[in-house]
Amino acid sequence: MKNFIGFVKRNFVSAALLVTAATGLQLKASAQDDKTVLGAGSSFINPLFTKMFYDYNQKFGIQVNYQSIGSGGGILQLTNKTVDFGASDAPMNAEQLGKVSAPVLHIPQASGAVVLTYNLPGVTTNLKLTPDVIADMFLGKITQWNDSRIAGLNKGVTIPSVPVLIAHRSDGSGTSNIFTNYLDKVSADWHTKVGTGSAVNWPVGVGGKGNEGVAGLVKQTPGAIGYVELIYALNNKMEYAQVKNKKGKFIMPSIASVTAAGNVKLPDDSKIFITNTDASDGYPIAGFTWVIIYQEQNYNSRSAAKAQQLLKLLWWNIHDGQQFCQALFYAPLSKEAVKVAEKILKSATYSGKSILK
Amino acid sequence: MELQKSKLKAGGQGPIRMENFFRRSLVIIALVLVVLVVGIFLTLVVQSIPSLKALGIKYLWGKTWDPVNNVYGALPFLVGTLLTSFIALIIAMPFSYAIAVYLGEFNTKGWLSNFLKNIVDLIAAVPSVIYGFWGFLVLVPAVQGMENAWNAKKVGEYRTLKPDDNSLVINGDSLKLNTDYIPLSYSGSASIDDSTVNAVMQESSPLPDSVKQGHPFIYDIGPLVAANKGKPVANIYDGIKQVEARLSGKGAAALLIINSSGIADSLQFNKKDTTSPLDIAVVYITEAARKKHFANVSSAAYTANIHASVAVVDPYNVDPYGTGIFTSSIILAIMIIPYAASMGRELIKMVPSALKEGAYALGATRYEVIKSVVIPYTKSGLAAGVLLSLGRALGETMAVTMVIGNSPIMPKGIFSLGHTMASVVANEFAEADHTVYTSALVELGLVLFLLTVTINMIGKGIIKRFTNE
Repeated sequence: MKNFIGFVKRNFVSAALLVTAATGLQLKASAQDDKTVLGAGSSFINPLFTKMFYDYNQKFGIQVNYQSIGSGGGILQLTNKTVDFGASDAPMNAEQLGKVSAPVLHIPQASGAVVLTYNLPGVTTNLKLTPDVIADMFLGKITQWNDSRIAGLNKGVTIPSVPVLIAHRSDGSGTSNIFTNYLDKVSADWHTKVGTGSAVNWPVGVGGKGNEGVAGLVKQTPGAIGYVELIYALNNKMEYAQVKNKKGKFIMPSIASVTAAGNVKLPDDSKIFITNTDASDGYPIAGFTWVIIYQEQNYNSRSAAKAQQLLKLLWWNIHDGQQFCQALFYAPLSKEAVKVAEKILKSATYSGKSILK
Repeated sequence: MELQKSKLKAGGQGPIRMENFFRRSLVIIALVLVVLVVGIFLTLVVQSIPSLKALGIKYLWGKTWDPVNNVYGALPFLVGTLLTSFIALIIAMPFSYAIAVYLGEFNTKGWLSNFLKNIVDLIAAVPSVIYGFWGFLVLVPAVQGMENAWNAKKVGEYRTLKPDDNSLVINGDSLKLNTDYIPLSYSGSASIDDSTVNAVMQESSPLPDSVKQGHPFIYDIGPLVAANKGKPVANIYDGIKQVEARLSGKGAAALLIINSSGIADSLQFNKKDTTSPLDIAVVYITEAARKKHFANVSSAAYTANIHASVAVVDPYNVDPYGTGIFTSSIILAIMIIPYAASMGRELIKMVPSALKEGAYALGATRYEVIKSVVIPYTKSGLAAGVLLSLGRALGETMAVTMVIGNSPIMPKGIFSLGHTMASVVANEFAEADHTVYTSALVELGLVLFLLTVTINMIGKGIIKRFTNE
């Protein structure tokens, strides 16, 4: 024992270093190279960004490295200033805003939607669902598919008499955030009992990891209903429901109806969930994905050229970049959204002077 | 290390220096491990502080995990972890021991022995995500089929009333279940506190403008029964359902059904009811109780003080998800079989042949030799193997996440959906977006860490006692 103590004393410095290393050392790195832009965040937008940034690199020779690590991770990296921009499926919340050292800007990039997919043997048409029926299913109040409320909406469709089995995301996700935000808006009961967030205390149902987890559960379980991203459902040719929107129309989720959902009066900072949209032909369970940057770009001794580069890229994203949306099943920004995004980008500054003219 | 090298160059070159350097290097490398474990533990503790501060010790037995309202309770996950691990252990042990005895005692050489041995070792080497896939694609549908078969066969009962969960008090008078009142089988569950009757309903009577939240209604089915005399009960059900539909969503909590017509209505609790439960409680008041409490119900001015609690439950139903505690236990069992099996095999091989031959010489059969010589001789090692298995089962994440159902609700049985501590952390950590949330997840890791350490220490203690004897 004495030997041991003596040993520790002799090697105290190296031991202390090791403990520091073991308990986690924050490394700060920032690419100072003007030809590279670093981004991190939302995995939802990753396929679109990959395509956009590849094209951008071909045209302008700027390399954009985007790490698809999830919205929360993107915000964290932006807060730590290790990336030039973060990307998130939800606006930053109050606590996250409290942690950043300077004001940030949210710039919408594209929108996505959440669709309800189900497994009902024999049903081949797209079911019609209303907000209260969806909420009551996910609250565990409607437990049978042959419930009169579902049958009443789908006259002429023979719905099998099987129990309603709910599938939801088990991992924290922007998809859950949009979906629970929608339920929160349309159901008072959901608002008091559950609320909205990227992970919530689900009253019923089975959790699957990722879109593929939920989709797998639904495919394997007759009577199951779950929610996945529209893109995922389209790519995998899944059945999904039409949802009644605020204006009383049943809307089929599609790229057009999702873009339409965002064609409403947006606030100047664009930080709004467009769920339960006022647009009469808009699909009600939709949301933006934002890029988040610092409003004042002169931090960490970044060069003016670098800030210029970043803003130029983001400007391109919301204009020329939008052409790639359709093919990848993303909903391009609505006219209204582009207008607001332009205004936000113009408010970015370098040493107090606006970067874009 | 740099320090050591420079000393070596600057100081004397003797072989003693070299010896010292070598010895020190070994100790340093060994110590790195200790430092790492301590470091990991400290990280967990430090990162858990916000959660410890916000939630305190009740974190351990809290049943709600609600990131929206920042309420975190680890109990469902603790229970999920322990349940899956121990059930897996119970399933795996017979297999492990059988393999160990067969390969260690009966068939120690030859191609079959080698083949089996390699297969068992392979089971341990397969990445857990592959077990997850297999479980999800094969085991889940199989268990689902089993659950469906169970639901179809279950004794013909779909609804039941637990006497303890149902009560009805009118103006201070406690009514008797089944003799005075019967919650109907399609009734929703509700609890009503200190309410006065809101209004008396007829099938077609207009709804009052404002319905007080949580108040019960009285509905006289007398006219309906009279109109449907001799027809099946279904017509009465439809009438009740219509009234219920008009009331539910308006804030009403219960519908008390009376029958003033004097004609038998044959309403009763139907155990085989398969219809959807209604939104509010529907309670039938028997004729005797009606005469006593609702004899002069005639106008909307009628009031009565009512406390009630109604719970209609499905006694046997298992939601046929296929995922859950049971499915993950099977996957875990398969994953942990090789640990105890390999260790047991090696130990059984090492039993001195003198001992065994002695027993044979005394006339023992092979079974007797295994029972009274081999197993007692190797029991501490076999126990250690079980412990190793348990350690693996407690911390397994990927495969379990794929088949356990990931539900934060306290499991009610082995066919319930569940969640383990490791799978919660894996699922939620990446997107945990506020401090207490992240910290609560780290604390879950801390609890898992301490649980594993405790179980290991208890196990080591047991082994030590066995070996000393």
